[in-house]
Amino acid sequence: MTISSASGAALKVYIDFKSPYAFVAKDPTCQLENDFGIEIDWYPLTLNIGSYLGTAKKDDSGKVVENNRSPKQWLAVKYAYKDARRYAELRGLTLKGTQKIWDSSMAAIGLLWAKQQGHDELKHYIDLTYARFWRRELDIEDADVIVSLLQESGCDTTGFNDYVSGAGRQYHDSLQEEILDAGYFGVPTYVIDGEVYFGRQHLPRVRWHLAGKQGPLPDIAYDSILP
Amino acid sequence: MTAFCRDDTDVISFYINFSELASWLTLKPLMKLIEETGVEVEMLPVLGSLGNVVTRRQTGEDDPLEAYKARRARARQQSSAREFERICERLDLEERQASRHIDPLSASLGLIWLKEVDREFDQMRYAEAVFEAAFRKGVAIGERDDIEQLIDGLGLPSKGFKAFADIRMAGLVANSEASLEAGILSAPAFVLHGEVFHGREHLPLLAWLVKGSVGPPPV
Repeated sequence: MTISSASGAALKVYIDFKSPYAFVAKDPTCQLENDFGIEIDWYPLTLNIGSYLGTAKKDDSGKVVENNRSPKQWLAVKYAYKDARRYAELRGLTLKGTQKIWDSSMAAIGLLWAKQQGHDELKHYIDLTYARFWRRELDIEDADVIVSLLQESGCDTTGFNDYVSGAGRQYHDSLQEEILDAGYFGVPTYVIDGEVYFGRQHLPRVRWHLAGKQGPLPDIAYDSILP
Repeated sequence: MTAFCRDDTDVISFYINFSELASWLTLKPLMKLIEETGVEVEMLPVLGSLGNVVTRRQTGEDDPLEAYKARRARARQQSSAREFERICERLDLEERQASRHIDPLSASLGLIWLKEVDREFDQMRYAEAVFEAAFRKGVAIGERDDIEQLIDGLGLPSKGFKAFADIRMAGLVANSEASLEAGILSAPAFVLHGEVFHGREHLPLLAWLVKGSVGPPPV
């Protein structure tokens, strides 16, 4: 069930667990639920990072052992991690660079499963998955790991193993097609009344929209202050 | 009046591109930060950006992700088009005004010139005048004569600018390319204490840092 804000607007948020930007955006996004009395309608948007930022793999020492990235792509990737990390560190979050490009679709199917179970279960699942993945404590490509996470989040996992290879996989994959057709291509993406805001820098606009668009359209900013 | 003590060594390098609206949108909040803190801002012109980094296969080479990339590119264009409308709204510009193609070279040389002949000149006023002329009024700023007139109109020294521009043009192009190599991937960008920040969305964090990192940080 989606609960709307006082302005009547419902908020859909699209995330991917392997995105450092979506990780940093998670808490200020969740804060919207408290500030506006809404329940966010969460969806997974599973990025194909290799298609637009090339691919690379590092060993445990951080040495690049496989690489098909251009120098421009490396510049963009290095900046993205550095930028996300500095905001994470300011809030005491651990954000370790990943050693490969993960397939986050199984964790995304876990999100869809947790969503069926309830708001609190989903919130716990999102919090646990993000925190542990970015501490490099989680293999999000391992179904058993996802089952454990779901259980720890308070979810009943009966039937999950069938879901992850059957109906859940089909739903996830068809959702990705719908998402791309709708014009959403990155995370976090916020959708309210059909209006699309890409990136947490749009949170001032999301808040403005949820509050009923009082006053002029705000500019983009990383300006959320968390309690 | 500055309401707190800040580190006198704080200098924000502000990389500006006179052809891009995002740089224009940075001026007002940056002015506010200067007024609030007295922080020194060094405006530095850049002429280009890193641009699209998506890998393109050579013609004739099979790319299994070609269809996906094309759909994603369409989605990205759609998002950019909507953001362009929002920028027009923020700047109170019509789309035809905001769509004007601007060559930033002469305006960038004008900035460098003024910094050399008058260290005390108001960089923000000059930049605002360039953007207003180029986008809102549709005044040509691509040629050195245009910038000379604009500088004159601001009551700033212009004699000698054209000769200066001839000498310094190659250096500016080289510096702009070197900035890209050094990690200034796009404008607006800022450097504070050696850290690079791309985009005006970082202004709240820059303000927090300049104000002494007091209280919870923005995220």
